[in-house]
Amino acid sequence: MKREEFIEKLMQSLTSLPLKEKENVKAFYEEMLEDAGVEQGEEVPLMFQQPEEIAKSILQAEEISFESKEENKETVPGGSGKQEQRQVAQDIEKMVLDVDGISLKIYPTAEKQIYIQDAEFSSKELSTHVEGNTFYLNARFPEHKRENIDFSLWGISFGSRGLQRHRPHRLKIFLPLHLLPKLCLELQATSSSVKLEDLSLLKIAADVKASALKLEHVQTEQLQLHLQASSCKVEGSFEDCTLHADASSCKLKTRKKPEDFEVYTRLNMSSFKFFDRNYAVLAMREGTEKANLKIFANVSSVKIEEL
Amino acid sequence: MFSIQGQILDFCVLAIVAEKDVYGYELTQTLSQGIELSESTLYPVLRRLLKNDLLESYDQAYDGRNRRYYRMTSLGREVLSDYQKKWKKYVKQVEHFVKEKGEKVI
Repeated sequence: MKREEFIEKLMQSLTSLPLKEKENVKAFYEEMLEDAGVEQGEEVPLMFQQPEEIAKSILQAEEISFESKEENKETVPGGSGKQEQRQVAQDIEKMVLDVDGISLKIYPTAEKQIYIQDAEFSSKELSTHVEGNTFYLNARFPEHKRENIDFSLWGISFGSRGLQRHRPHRLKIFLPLHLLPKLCLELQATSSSVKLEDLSLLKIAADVKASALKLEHVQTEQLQLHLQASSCKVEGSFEDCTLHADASSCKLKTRKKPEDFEVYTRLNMSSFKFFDRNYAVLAMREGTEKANLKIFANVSSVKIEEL
Repeated sequence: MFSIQGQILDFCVLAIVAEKDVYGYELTQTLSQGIELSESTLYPVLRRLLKNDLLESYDQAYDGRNRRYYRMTSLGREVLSDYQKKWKKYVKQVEHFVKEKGEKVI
C-alpha cells in the first residue's frame, strides 16, 4: 500500500470523526510516515498496513468520550440542546478552581447566575442541573466511584478523564467567565493544598486549614482570608484585603495600586512578604517573631501594631 | 509477551516524555525497543494524555515541515510520580503470587 493510499483509507474510515480531529489524525500519521522515511508514492511499512484497524482504535477511544457526554446530558434537566452546551464549552475563558477535599460555595451577585453550592468533592456524588440561566452543581465523590466520573459540560470540566485514570489529588473546574460577571466565593478548606486560579470575583472569603493556599491571577474587590496554613501565596488584583493568618509564611502580591488600598492583618507567622501597595497595616499578635517580618517594594506607609 | 496497553502504556509514555520532549515517531521507536507496539495504539494514548492536560504539544520546524513535539505538564509530572509509587506496589503484589519456588519476595 502506498503512502497516499494509506492516508486516504484512514480518512475514509474516520468519517464520523469531527473534521478538526480528522485533520489532527492526518497530520500525525503524515508526520509519522515522513519521519519513518516513507516518501510520497512509496510503500508504507508493514505496521501501517491496516488503516482500518488504526481508525477503529481511534474511533473507539473517541466514542467513549462521546457516550459520556450523552450521559452527562441526562443529568441536566431543563438544560438546552447539546449544540449550545458545546458552544458554551468552547467559550471557556479562564477560570480554574483547583481543589481537593474542600467544601465550596460559589454564588453570583449579578443577573446571569451560576451556583455552585455545598460541593464536598472528596466524599459524595456528583450531580448538576440547569434551570434557565442558573447552573446548579453538587459534586460528591465517594472514594470507590472516583474512577467512574467523567464530566464535561457547560464549560465545566471536572478533570474529566484525568479523574478516572489518576484519582484526584486535585480537582480542576473550568467556568466560562462570561457567565460570571460578578461572583462570590466562600471557601472552607481542610486539605493538603488549595489552589485557585484566574478567578474574577466580587468577594473571596476563605477559611483555610490547609498546608498551602495559593491564589493566582485573582481579581476580586474583597479578599478575606482566615488562614491556618503553613504557607499562603496570593497573587492578583484586589482592593480590600483582610488577612487573619496563623501561618508560617505568607506572600501577597497585587497588580492593582488603588489609592485607598488597605490591608489589615493579624499575623502569627514566621515570615510575611508583601508586594506593591500604597500602604499596609499589620497588626501582630503577641509573640510574633518580628525578625522574620519582611515587607517588600512599593509600600508607601506601613504601620505595625502589637495587639 | 504481555500486551501493554491502557494505563500502563500511559505510564510508559509519560516516563519517556519526562526525560525529554519527543516527537511521535521518536516515541514509537523508543517504546518499541521495550514493548510490542501496534501502530494503532499510540495516537489514542497521546490524544488522551493531551486531553487530560498531562502532556502538551508544540510544533517545531524541521527539514521544511513541522514536527509536533510533546512535553510534560506539571500535572503530568504529578501523575507520573503517583504512577511510579503505584507501580512499585503493583509489581510487589503480582510478585507475591507468581514467585517461583524457593524464591523470597522482598
